[in-house]
Amino acid sequence: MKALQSLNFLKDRVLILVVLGFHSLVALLAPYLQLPATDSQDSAALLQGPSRSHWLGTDFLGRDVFSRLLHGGRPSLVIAFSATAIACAIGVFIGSLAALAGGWIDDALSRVVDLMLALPTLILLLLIASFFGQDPLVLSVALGLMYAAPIARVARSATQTLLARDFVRVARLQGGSRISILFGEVLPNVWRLMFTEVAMQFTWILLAFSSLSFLGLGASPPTPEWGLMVAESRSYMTLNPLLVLAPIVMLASLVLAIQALVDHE
Amino acid sequence: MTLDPVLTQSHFLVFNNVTVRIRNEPSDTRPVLEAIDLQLEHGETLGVVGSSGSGKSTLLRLAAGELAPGLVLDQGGVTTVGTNLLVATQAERTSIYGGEVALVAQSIGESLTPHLTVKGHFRDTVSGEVVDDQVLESLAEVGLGGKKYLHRYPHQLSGGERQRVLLALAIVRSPRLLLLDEPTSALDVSIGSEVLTTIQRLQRARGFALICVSHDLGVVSQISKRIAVMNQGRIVELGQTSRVLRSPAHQYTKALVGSIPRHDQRVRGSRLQSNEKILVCRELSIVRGETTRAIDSLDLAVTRGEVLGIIGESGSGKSSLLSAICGLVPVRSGTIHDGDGYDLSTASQARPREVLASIQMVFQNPDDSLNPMRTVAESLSRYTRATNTEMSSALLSVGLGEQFLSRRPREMSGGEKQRAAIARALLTKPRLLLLDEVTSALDVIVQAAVLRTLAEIQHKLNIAMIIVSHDIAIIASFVDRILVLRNGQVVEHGSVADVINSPRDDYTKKLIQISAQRSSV
Repeated sequence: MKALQSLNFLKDRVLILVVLGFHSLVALLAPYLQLPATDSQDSAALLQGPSRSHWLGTDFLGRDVFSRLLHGGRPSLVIAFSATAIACAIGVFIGSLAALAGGWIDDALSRVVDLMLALPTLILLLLIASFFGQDPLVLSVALGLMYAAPIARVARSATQTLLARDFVRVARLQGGSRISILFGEVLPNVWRLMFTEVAMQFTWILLAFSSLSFLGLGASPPTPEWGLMVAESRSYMTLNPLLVLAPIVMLASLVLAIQALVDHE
Repeated sequence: MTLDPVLTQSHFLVFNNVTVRIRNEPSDTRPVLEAIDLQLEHGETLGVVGSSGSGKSTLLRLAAGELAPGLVLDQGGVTTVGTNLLVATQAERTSIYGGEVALVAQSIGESLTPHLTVKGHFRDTVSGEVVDDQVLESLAEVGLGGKKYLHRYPHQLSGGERQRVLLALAIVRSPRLLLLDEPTSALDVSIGSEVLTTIQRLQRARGFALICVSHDLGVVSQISKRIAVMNQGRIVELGQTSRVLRSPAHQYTKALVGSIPRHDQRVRGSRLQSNEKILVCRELSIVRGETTRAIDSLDLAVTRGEVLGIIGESGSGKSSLLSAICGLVPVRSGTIHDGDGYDLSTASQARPREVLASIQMVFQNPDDSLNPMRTVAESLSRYTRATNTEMSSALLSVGLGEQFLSRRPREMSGGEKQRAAIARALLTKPRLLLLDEVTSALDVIVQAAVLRTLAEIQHKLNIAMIIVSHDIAIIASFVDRILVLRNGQVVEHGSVADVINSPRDDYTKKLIQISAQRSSV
């Protein structure tokens, strides 16, 4: 009970917004700040602790950790945004089509979605990345496809709920075609019901991409990326723990803040 | 032996100048409850009636010594035999009331735990040992005699039986005060009336005090000698039920009493009958789900400009019939045609535009009949392609001004939304308008106003209507012809005068009797 109560800070709306605001500002403004270049190596200062010139110290190549940290969310966020957009487009299309068509189309699409949900995401991603390379476009599409399944499932049930609403029945009685009812009555309302699901999937995609980077198949060196930073530095963890802790804190705070915000809505 | 302190005091429960506000709201906004003064004697019954948002449920909870989260007591106090209820501990309250105050909440579907048998529920209430005799006795008292009910689960009980189980749970600890929140609003009229009779019998036998809250003046007046009429957080009138109903003093009470539908008072004049048939059903059967017969072999004809009323309890097939007429539900067998001989057993998508336009339907739930994302103008014109002038005049005919064109559903009251839905249906110039319980979600005063509007529209446009309702008073005051459905079959069919004055079916007789009882108090 005590442990649960101590998590109360997660319900603090102001704190959540402050954390999210901080992350957005950092991600947007990092290139414009007066920071050392993320790939400039200083062979005279390897694996140093925090100092005035390097606020969080340096890594094994003598690169500034603070600068890499602030830049490190950008690749993940770009991929996560584009992959979520793809997942949404595919998921909502499949889900609403299944609900609208019904019958065998619904059955077939639902089985496909079940199958996709049953596949082990990370292993499949590893396969795709090793076959098709680490191109951001390929990764976005792969992640988008993979995370479309849960969105499709929610979209299907949201559409079904909406189709039974009286204003949709009235639209049918007034001669609305299936397409105009779908775009005019159903989809705009589906979006409102799906906000939570989409935001959650966004955080999963963020984590999945960082995991891929950690495994060496996401972002490629020397790109600053949190998962990759953890992977590169884990051997030197004892010398400068900040090398591993800082990117983890950044990733965890972003994911937690988004999920806490979704809980609030 | 000392005298029970409870019995030596004259007033059992006293509300003294109680004002309740929403927490953190400035003091110039209207409070939830304002200056409530109220006394309840031992064993007395008080009915509280008011529209939604009038504060009646807050009042009821206060009587149990509770205040909903987010509300604060601004001034005044609630005392029972000299003890301030709001600061009393649970134990003190229990000792005052002798067993807890029993509150029977509105949503009977959610008030029982699905995985517990009836007996299991008593195990929660009578803590520790289940005194079988006591349980059986209270079940018998609410009309569920015999041991067979002990081992049933909530889903094996009908709505009326569930409400009786809740009553039995409430009285098993012999409370001195029973609080009822809309005890019958989820039940069919005839079953609700039986439950009310049971409550009256219980109170005579056990002598507890009773506060019953309802939006339905009929329900409240059936069981209470004294009623309080609430409006906007204030008690606007308080007095003997018969006096309040016969000669209401406050403006709001007058409106309320005047709005009660009466089966012997028409709100619409009858029209000359035409012979032109616009809907003919022969041996029509409708199946819901796999096998359940919603409508069984029904014969029906509606002529131009005629108003037909269909009455029946839930599950009688009345909504299925309307849905089938407009093509939302498939027909299993039999024939159904419109006046031009068009086969109406086709689904709505397959019907030509002019056939679709000729039959329109308005649904029960005002919150559901307009797309929440659209303005009224968008909702009205999207499929009808009506111009602004057409929409304005349609809105005007249902009593809404032009300014509603730019409103969204969340900015409108239930009555306004329902009027907009009716206006939308009128825009296709239908010959037949199907109305499915269109007023049942509305407060009595709003309901009466919407019915008057419908009567005007009917008179002006000479549209045929089929009105479905569970309330025989609404039907009898509005329609030309009544059809009573029971389990998918017609048990009574005739003109209003015939059905009301000489009903043949037992169910119809009962409905008329209840309606007469309520309007004659």
